[in-house]
Amino acid sequence: MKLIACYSNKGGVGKTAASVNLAYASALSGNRTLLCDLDPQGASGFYFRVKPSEKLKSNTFFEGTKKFANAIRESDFHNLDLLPANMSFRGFDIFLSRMKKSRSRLNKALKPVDGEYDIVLLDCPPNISLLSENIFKVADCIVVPVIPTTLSQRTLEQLYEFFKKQGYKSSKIFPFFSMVQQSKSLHLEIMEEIRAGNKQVLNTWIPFSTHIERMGVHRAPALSYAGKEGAVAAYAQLWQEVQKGNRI
Amino acid sequence: MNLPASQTFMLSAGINVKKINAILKNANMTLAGNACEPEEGTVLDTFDATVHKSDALLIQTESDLVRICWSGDVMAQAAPESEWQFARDLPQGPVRDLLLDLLPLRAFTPVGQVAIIRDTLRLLDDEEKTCCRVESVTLSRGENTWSWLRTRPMRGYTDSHTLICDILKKVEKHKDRLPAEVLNLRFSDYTSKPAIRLSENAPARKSLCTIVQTFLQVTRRNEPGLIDDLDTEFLHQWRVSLRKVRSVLTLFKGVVATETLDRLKQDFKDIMQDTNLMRDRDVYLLSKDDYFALVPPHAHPGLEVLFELLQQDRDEAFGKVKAMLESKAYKKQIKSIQKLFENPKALPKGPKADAPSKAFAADLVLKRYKKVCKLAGNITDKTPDESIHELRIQCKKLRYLIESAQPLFNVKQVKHLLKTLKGLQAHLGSFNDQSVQQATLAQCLDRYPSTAPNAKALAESIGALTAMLYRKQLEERRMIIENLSRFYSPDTQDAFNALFALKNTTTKQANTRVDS
Repeated sequence: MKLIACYSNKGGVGKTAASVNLAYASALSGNRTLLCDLDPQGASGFYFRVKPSEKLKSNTFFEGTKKFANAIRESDFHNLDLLPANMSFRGFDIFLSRMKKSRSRLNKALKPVDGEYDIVLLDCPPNISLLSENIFKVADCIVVPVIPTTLSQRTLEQLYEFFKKQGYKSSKIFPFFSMVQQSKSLHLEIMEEIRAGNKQVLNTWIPFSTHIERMGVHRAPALSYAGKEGAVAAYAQLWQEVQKGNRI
Repeated sequence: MNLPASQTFMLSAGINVKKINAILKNANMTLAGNACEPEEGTVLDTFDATVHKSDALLIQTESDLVRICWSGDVMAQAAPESEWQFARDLPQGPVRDLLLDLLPLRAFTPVGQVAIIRDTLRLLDDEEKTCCRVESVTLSRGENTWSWLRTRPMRGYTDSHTLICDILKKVEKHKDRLPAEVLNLRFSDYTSKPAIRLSENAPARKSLCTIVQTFLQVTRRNEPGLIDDLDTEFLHQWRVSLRKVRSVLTLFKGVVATETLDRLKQDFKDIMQDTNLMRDRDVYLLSKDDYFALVPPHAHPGLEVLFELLQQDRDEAFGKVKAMLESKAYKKQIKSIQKLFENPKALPKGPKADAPSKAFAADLVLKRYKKVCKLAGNITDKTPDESIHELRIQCKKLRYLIESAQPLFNVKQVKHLLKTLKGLQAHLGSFNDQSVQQATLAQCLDRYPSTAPNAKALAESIGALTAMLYRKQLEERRMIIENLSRFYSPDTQDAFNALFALKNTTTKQANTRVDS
C-alpha cells in the first residue's frame, strides 16, 4: 500500500481537483484506490456525490480504527473508494494525538484497510497541523500543486523550510504546476524559475480549464467526462509520472 | 470489509421499474436503468444439454456470447465473427475458457430464439449517487418473459442493499420457475449415464434386461448425431454403450443361454467393427495440437503429412459407419436385439438366470476384483507390456460391472471405490493409447510410398513422435505401478469386502431363492 498525499499549505490551488482526478486515474490504471477526504472543507466527497453520513458526524468516530474502515464508501467508479469528510474531521488530529508513538499514528489508523488498497490518496487540509505533520512523516510521496505566482512560490519555500526545520525528508515533495495560464508571461517565468532551482518539480502541469471548473456541475472527476480535453488529460499524465516516480 | 452477499431474484415477467420506483419514493431513492433495446439471441447447448444442466443458458447475440448462470453470474465475451461449433473455435475470452473446461468435445447447436435485454440498474439516492447496482437480464420468447436480477452491493451502503433486496423480494414472482419452463425452451434430456432402477431380489435375468435396455437406448439416441457427424462424442458414446451391453452380457455369466450369448456377441462384433478405425483416428485428430507440441518445429511439416493421412482414413471410415447405420440391415439387427431384452421371461435363460440380483452381482464384483488384484500384484518394472494390457482389460470389465450393478449398492461407497479404479484406469488407458499409437505410426509409414515427395519429412516426424510416445509410455508405466499399490492396498480391499462380501448365509439363501 502506497500512501500519497496531495498537500498545499495554501488554499484555492486546485488541490481537491488534483486529488479527485489523480485518484480516478490511479483506479483506472488498475490500482485499488482509496481517496481520504481529510480536508474539513474539502469537496472530494461532494465531487463523488458522497454524503457524510450521520455516523461520520459522531465525535466518537475516530476512537476506534474499525469505525474508520466502516466509514469508507464505494464510489460510482470501479476500484475507487472514498473516505468522506465531515465537519468533525478536526477529530482526526485528536484521534492521532491519543495514539501512542506518534511516528506511526497515521499508519495505525490506516491499518484496518491495509491490504485492501494499493494506493491511499490523502486530500489534506491546507494547514500545518498534527495531522499534516503525521502525513509528512508517513506518506511515501507528497504532491504539491503550485500556481505559478509569486505568492505560491513563497508558500512552497515555506514548506521546504518547515521540512528542513523538523527534519522531514524533503525528497518526498513533488511540486507540480496547477491552474497554469499560458497567456500570462508571469506564469511562464515563475515556472522556469522554480524548475531551475528544484529538480523534484514534475514535468506535467495542469492548465487552467473550464472543464475542470465544471466538476462542481458534473459532480464527477473531470477525467470521467472530459478525459479527452488536453487540460483534463494532463491529470492522467500527472498520475503516470507520480506512479513512475514511486515505482508503483 | 463487510460487504453483504449478492442476492438473486427471478421472475416470470419483465422488470417493472415504475412499480419499484413507486415503492422507493418513501426512501427518497430511485432505480435507474439504461433503457437498453432488446437484442435477438440464439440459445445454444450441446446434445447432452451440459450448459443447461449447470444451471445456465448460453445465448449468442450479434455482438456478444453470454452465459447466464441463474444461481451465479452473467459472463460475456465478444461474439465470434464466424460460425462456430466447438468451444475451441471461439476467440479467447472467459466464456470460451469456461465452456472449454466444461465440455471440450461437444458441438453446440441452437435450442431456440429469444429476445434478450441486459442492463445494470442503479439505485440512486437524492444526490444521484449510486448506492447499489442490480444486474439484470430479461429474456422473452413469444408471449413469455423471464427476468433475472442480481444485486451488486457497494461498500458503505449496506442499508441501501437491504432496501432494494426487500423490494425485489416483494415483486419476485414464481421464483422457482426456471427459464426453460417459462420460455418453453426444449433442452435435450439425453444423458450418457441414465439412472438404472434395479431391485435387490429381482432375478438376475430381469436386472440384466433392465441394464441392457437402458444402455441400448443410449446407443440409439446417439445414432442421428453420429450420422450427421456433429461431434466425436456421438460415436464414442454409441460405442461405449454397446461395449457396456456386451460386457454385462458376458460378465453376468450364466444368466443368458450360451447359444443366445454367442449369437449376440457376434452381432455386436459385426456392428462395431466398422467403427474401430473411425474412433482410433478421432482420438488422434483430437490430440493434434498435443502431437505438434511433442516434437520440435522442424518435424512439423512431416506431421502435417501424417495428419492429412489420418484425416483421409477418418473420412473414409466415417463414410462406412454412416452407410452402416443407415442400412436396413443395421436397423433390423439393433431393433431385434432391443426386442430380445424387452421381456425378461422370453430371454433364453442360463443356469443363473433366476439368482437374486444383489447377491449375484456382489459375488461377481468380488471375484473380478480379486482377479484384478492377483494380476496387479505380479506387476513390476520388468513386467511385459502384454500383462499390463491384460490388467487394463480386467480393470475395464470390473468398472463396467460395478457401474452396471451400482443401483444395488450404496452409491457413495461405490463412487469412492470407482474413483480409485478410475485413477488407475486413466494411466492404463494412456499406456495402451501410446502403444497403439506407436503401432499406427509404423503402419502409416509403411502405407506411404517411399518415393513420394514428402516421404522423408514424414519418416522424420514419425521417428520423432515415436520416440516421444515411447518416453511417455515409460512414464505411464511408472505411474501405473504407483497407483497399483493404492488400488490393492488393505484399505481398498477392506472397502471392497465391506461393500460386496455379503454374509455367507445371505448369499447361500439368496442363491437358492427364486423370484416368483
